[in-house]
Parts: sequence; C-alpha cells; structure tokens
Amino acid sequence: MRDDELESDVSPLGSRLRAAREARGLTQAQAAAELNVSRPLLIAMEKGSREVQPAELVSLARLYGRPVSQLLRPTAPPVAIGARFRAVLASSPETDDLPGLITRLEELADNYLDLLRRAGAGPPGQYPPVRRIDHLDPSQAAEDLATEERNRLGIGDGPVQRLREILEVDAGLRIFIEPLPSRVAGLFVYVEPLGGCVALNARHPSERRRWTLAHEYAHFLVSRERAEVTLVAQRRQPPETERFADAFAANFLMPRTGLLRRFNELKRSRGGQVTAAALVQLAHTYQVSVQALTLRLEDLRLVRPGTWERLRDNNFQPRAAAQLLGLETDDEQAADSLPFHYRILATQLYADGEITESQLARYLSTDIVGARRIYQRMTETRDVSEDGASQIVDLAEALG
Amino acid sequence: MPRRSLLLDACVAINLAAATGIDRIADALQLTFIIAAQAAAEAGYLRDIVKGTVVLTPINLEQYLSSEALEIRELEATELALYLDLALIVDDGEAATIALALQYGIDLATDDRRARRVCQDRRLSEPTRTVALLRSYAEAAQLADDEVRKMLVRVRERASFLPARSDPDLKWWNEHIRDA
Repeated sequence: MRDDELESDVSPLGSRLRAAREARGLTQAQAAAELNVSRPLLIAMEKGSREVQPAELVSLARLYGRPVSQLLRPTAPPVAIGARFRAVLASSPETDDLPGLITRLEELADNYLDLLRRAGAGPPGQYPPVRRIDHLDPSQAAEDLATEERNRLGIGDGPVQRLREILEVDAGLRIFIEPLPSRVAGLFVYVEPLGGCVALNARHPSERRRWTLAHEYAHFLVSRERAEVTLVAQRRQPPETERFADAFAANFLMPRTGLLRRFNELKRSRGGQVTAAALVQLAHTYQVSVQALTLRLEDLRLVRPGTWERLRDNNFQPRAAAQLLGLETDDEQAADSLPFHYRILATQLYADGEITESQLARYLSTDIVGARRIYQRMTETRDVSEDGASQIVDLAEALG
Repeated sequence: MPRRSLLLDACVAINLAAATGIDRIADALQLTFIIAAQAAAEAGYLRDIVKGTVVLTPINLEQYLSSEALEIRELEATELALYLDLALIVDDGEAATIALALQYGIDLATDDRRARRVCQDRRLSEPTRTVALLRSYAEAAQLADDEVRKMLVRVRERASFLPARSDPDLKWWNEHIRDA
C-alpha cells in the first residue's frame, strides 16, 4: 500500500503534521531529534494513534514554520498535488527546483479549500467531460475543440479580453500567478475536490502568461488526470500532447474567422500593405506576443512563411515598437496572484466577521497592512460620493 | 503610580506604530502595552511614500522593549491548552492575545470584529479600540486639531486603517480627518 493511500485513515492533524514535515524537508528521525522525542512517538503522532500534547504541537509548528491554526484545520491537506507531480518530476531532469513550488501550490490549494469550507460553498464552474483526441490529427482536433469551447463559453470569435476571469469563473479553473523559474511557463494539476489548478509564471510578460493559460486549459480539457510542467523551450520534436496544447492555444486566443476578418480590415486600411506596425497593433488587440501572432498568420497563410524569422533576423524589437506606437500592455491582472473567486471568498468572510484581519492576511499571502489595502481596493467602487471621494461598499450589509 | 497594562493585538499595535510611535502613546496614557509574541510576529510593515513610490517600513516593536512602554510576552506552558483551543477559531496572534487576557484578566485592545466576538463569547470585558486610544492620547497630550489630523492621516495612509461603522468614536475620527 502506498503512503498516500493511508491518508484517509489518518486524523487531519496527523496528516497535516506529516505534510508540514515533508514540506520542510525533514525526515521523521530528524524531526523527532529536533523535538527530543523518539521516532516511533513522532510516527504515532502523525498516524493519530497518540494524542499530540499542546507543547509538542507548538514546538512542531515552530519547527515546520507553520501557524498552529493551520495545523489545526479540521480537514486533511491536499497532498495529492505532490503525489501527482512526483511522476512528472521523476521523468524530467530539468525540473529540479520545482518541489518547493509544488509545496506552495499545495498550500494555496489548502487555503482555497479552507475558505470554501468556512463559506459553506463549493468551487465555481461547470466542467465539460474530458475529450479524447487519440488517433486524431492534433491541429484539426485543437481547432475543433477551441471553436467548441469558445461557443460553450459564449465568447464568439473575437479577442478574449478577460481570459483569466472567464476561465476561472465560467470554466472553473483555479489560476495562480507565482514566480516560477524562468524556463517554466506553467504548471497544471487536477485534484479533487478543488478541480483544475494552474500556476502561471509571474516573471513572464502578460501575453506569454495568456498563451500558457490557454495551453494549460487544453491539458485540462483532454488529459486532466495527468499533471503537467510546461517549459518555455520545448524539445525540437515536442510530444503530440504539447503540439496539441499549443495548437489549441493559438486557435483559442486567435480564432481563424475573427483573425482573418481583422487582418483583412487592417490590411485594407493600410492600402493593402502589411507592415510590422500592423502586426504589433493586431498582437496588441489579441493580447498575444508579436511572435505568436506572426506565426499564427503564417499558419493561416495570411503572411509569407518565414516572416517572423525575417523580423527577428532584422533585430525587430516588439516591446520597443509597441511603446513607440503607444500600445502599452495592460498588466493589471499581473498583480493578482490569487484567483478572483478566492479573493472574493476571503474578502467576504472578513467583511462578515468570520475571519480575523490576520487570517485574511494569511489567505492573501501578505501582511496585515497589505491585506487592508487589498480589502479596500476590492470593496471600493468606481462611483464617487457627493463629496467626490471613492465609495466603499459594505460587503456585510444585507441587501434583502 | 504603577502603569496599567493593556494587551494589544497586532492590528492595534500596527495602528499605534503608524500614528506616532507606541512609546509616546504609552507614556502619555501611563500604560504598559503587552503584546503576545505570536501577535508581534504578525506586525509586518507600514507603507510609506518615498519619492512617489510606496516602500515597506518594518514595524520594529523591539525598539520599545527597553522602556516601560511595551512588553512582548511568551505564553507559559500552562497557557498552551487554552491557546490551542482559541487557535481552532482565530489565528495564532489573536489566540495568544485572548489567551493572555483570559489568563491574567488584562484589558485588551482590538478592532477586529471576529476577535471582539470571541472576547464576548468568553465573557471578557469589551475590548477598547484604536480610535479610542488615539482620542485619549490626543486629549492627554493636548494635541492641537492640526496635529490630531496629521496623526489620523498617518494611520490611514501608513497602516491603511479605517474605523468600522460601528466604532463609537467614528464621528470624532471623521471630524478630525475631514479635508485631509
């Protein structure tokens, strides 16, 4: 029997102690020595067969760097995330520094589940059944599924302005933005009862994050049982699943019909000429990189093959060009590392007096003043009162 | 005359640190503030604007320890069971603060709605609030209206604190911070 299969028989405190120890990178023998108890005693505490004394729990919390209130949560932690990633990490030598990030993802998932428990709510979103694409042409299957998903989500064939919000609220993905190693674009894992969780690299530009998000969404739609680590530099011959996910991202973010229409309008408005400035403008409209847009246009045979390579060889600087054209990227969503629904839950629980200010801070991964600032930003409307000040919404007020 | 003790939670300690410094308020009100070690660890940072940029200013509570203004208290072994009982409901800092209030019968200051409810459930006397402390300080130190306004603005800007609608001293706060 595997260790993680034992979890259901263990008390929530026992499994939390074990998860916290493992996250700290300590063996049972090391932790027992630090605590000045025998190893069998520590094992008994982790199994729940021996009650943990108050002083022991306080010492363990200190040793593991965890708040005691977190160790005392009444449910077991979502350790399945680590278990699902273990196989991926074992087969990928390029991902040595990821275990810490997976621990962080487990912690965020644990917080999310705790917020849902406190609110008596379930995770949002309606999941479509898993789509099987075996034996299908990846490009065609990706385009068909992207069109189907756009229709299901009611977003037509235009640029998706609020991609993160749509995939969080309507599709039900839990999207976190965390600093990952630069060569890692994103992570995907599906874990019950939270569902599909995605971590995007906070260090990447927002256009790249949107691409990664659409890419991870493809994994969610077709192979959600498999955890994924998406690297920036793919191997020369990427596996079929990765080619499918990239093709899905291209079709989902830049659907053929809408892109064709906009491209032709832009071309007409410029006397039939396609300039680098036109590509920058179109990339800005679709909130994708100029590279992603140009390669998509090449695929659709709207520009000549090799256009992107020629631009790159001529030292074309897309960011500088966008600045020159006054097309700054809206990076508003970059600041919000936590899912929209997660932040709403935490804010509402605080407004209702169900959690304290420091609990709010812990859920929002900030300090108390930081939590106050986020709370005020989230409850401030864009309306102004008679004296010209921004209005604050009372989230605890009953509306009937 | 010995000073009276008053327990602060992290939130009130942050506000007092932003206002004018904890020692000045403690001296003017002849109080010794006590803060649980767990709450002290949660104090974090104030936000100050330097050359148009928000910078984080660490709240250094240890600087007050040499005076009678502040004491950081660790829980005794006999208090840990009560602390863990409270940590099932609130976070570590509030749990330690309320445990000390229950154990030693010391008055407590907190603005936190959840913490105030726990105090009420545990039959502690009603906790005082940040604005009441600032108001008492302003009166004891005989601050001019402009000085009071500047102090309140510091609390609002550096600690992002806004009093609750139910705060009995909200009117005093609004009258003094007006036009800022």
